[in-house]
Amino acid sequence: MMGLIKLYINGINGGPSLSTYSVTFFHNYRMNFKKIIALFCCLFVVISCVDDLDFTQLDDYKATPIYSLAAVHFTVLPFQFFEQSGNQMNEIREITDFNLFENDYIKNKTVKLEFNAEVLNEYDNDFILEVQILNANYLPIFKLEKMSVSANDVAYKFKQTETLISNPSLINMGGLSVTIKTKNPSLLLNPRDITELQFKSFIKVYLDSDA
Amino acid sequence: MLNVRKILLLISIFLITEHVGQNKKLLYNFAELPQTLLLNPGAETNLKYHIGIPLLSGISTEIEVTGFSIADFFSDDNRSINDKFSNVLDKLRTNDYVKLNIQLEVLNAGFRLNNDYYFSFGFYEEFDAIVYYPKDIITLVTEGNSSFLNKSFELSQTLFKIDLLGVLHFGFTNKVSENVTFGARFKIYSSALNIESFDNSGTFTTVNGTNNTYTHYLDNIYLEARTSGLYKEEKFAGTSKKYLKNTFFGGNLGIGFDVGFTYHLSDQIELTGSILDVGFINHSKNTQNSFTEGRYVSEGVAFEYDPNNPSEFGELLEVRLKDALPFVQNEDSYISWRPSKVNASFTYRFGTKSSMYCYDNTYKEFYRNGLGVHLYSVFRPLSPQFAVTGFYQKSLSQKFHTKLTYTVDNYSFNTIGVGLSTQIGKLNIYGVIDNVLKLSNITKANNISAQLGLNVIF
Repeated sequence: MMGLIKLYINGINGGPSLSTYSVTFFHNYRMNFKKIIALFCCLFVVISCVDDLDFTQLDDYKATPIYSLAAVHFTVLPFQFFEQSGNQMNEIREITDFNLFENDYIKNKTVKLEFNAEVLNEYDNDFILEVQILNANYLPIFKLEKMSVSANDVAYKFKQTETLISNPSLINMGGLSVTIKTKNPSLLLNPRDITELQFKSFIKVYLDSDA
Repeated sequence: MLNVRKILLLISIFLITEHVGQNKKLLYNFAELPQTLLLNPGAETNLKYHIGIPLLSGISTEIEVTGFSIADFFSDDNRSINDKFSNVLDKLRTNDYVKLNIQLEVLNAGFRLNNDYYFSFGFYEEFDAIVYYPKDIITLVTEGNSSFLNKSFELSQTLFKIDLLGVLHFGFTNKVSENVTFGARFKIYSSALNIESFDNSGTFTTVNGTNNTYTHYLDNIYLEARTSGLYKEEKFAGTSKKYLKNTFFGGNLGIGFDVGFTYHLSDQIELTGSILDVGFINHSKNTQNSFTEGRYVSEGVAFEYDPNNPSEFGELLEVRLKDALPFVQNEDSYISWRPSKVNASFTYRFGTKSSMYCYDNTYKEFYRNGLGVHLYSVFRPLSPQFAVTGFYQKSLSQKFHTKLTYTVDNYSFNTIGVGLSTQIGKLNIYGVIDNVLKLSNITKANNISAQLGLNVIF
């Protein structure tokens, strides 16, 4: 940098400087303003260079984000299987809205859903859990495989992956329902018992910007 | 290698950068150009009057991209674009940004009232945009949250300000004494477009949960975006022609001022300073603002299986979210502040002393060389940006002036610029280019700026 300045001011070894050359150049050739503009533009264009660039690479860019979203969770105690009248129910069900695809981008770019669940069963009973995907009118559009949870299984894990290509109806997801069934209806529960059936779940949503 | 692609790239950079508020260190205090009065209304000039060639008197452009260069993305090097994108994203810092400033003088003229007063006025169009990279939001969008448990994605990184406006200005320069010159400029801003979002806060975090596998937190959320000129009756407001028309008293008006001075400590030592664009715009026409505020914690949906409530329906997730973070839109008027700039310089003049003709048979003696330092700062949404420039000026003749600058700023330690100004008859031509070292490969440059113009000077 300093060398460049020195060359500009003093030239090399006391010889003519770049500035002297510049003056001589301009005086000798009496450049008119058109030439100066042309020189300026040419200087800018000619001395500048660019690497070989390939903007078409953008076409190859692909974003594949994966989102993990907490879904349904609950803890069920024995008394929740009893009606107010005291009768034991062998099946209980609850519904919620779960509008995963409200956003058009997510709706169009989702390629795969992965349903994950963990169940902790302290009961001496086996349970069957059924998760249904509902549409906006809360009508079933897809059933996950049944989760058959054995008595006292405290580390039950469930995972099911579904692609949107093979199950396009999933795009209409608007809600979820979980039905809990006692596997052996003849077994009686004690409503005062404090054993728990815990359920935790999340959905992994796979997006692909090329989809 | 000169090819069509290169020319197009250069032209596009030049055109793109033609409309932004920028550090014009090469023009500042250079060759007594009329345009220096826009950078320091207290600059010394020895003109009788001047008229800028309409639309050609001041064309300036600057583009800055910090954190990466075009070559990082688009070099033809057989690396996958996804790998390049990841590398760039890793390198990005939260204070990296892309900035574009283009300024086009439509009219610039001035006249001398007497030995002590010079008046100047004009109108210019300006496009000024700065967008900070919301690194966390880009990461969340391109990679998702699955691999980032416990990471707090900072939504406060949403930070941008985009302006398109016309500026009508009138200023005076007063030679107070032999050593002191003072000047001020009054400005009327006419905004055609303003889009801004800053002072946001909030994080999005996913952690291992207690009641469910995961818990999501939207903490301390305050997100606001304000626009004027973008929408009209909830539709996009119009064409570029209409935007340009609105830069001339289109409805959203503001006022501001510049002040500056020049002070000669001695025959050879000169101090200058200026504060520019101290002002605001009141946006009241075609405004549309959006904001949300609140906190939201989600463990998903908790099923109650309440035997006392026979309804199968649990709580509604969507309702909870909308209650916690209501999205509000309004058309309230608001005020946006102009990005004020501060300049200061110290110049030591030396070498051969020459005499130059000024006006009405007045002459002025001047040193052919000047060495100095120029400090610049602009107030931006995240924080002020600073630049320190060392410069050397040399007048090769009475009418041919050159300037060489070396700048250290937020994003570079080796920016070298060159400037030329000459006068042929009454016609003054000037041109400056900054970051000339990167002209050998501008795709690797983080900033390029250029200004050029034509004036008729008497």
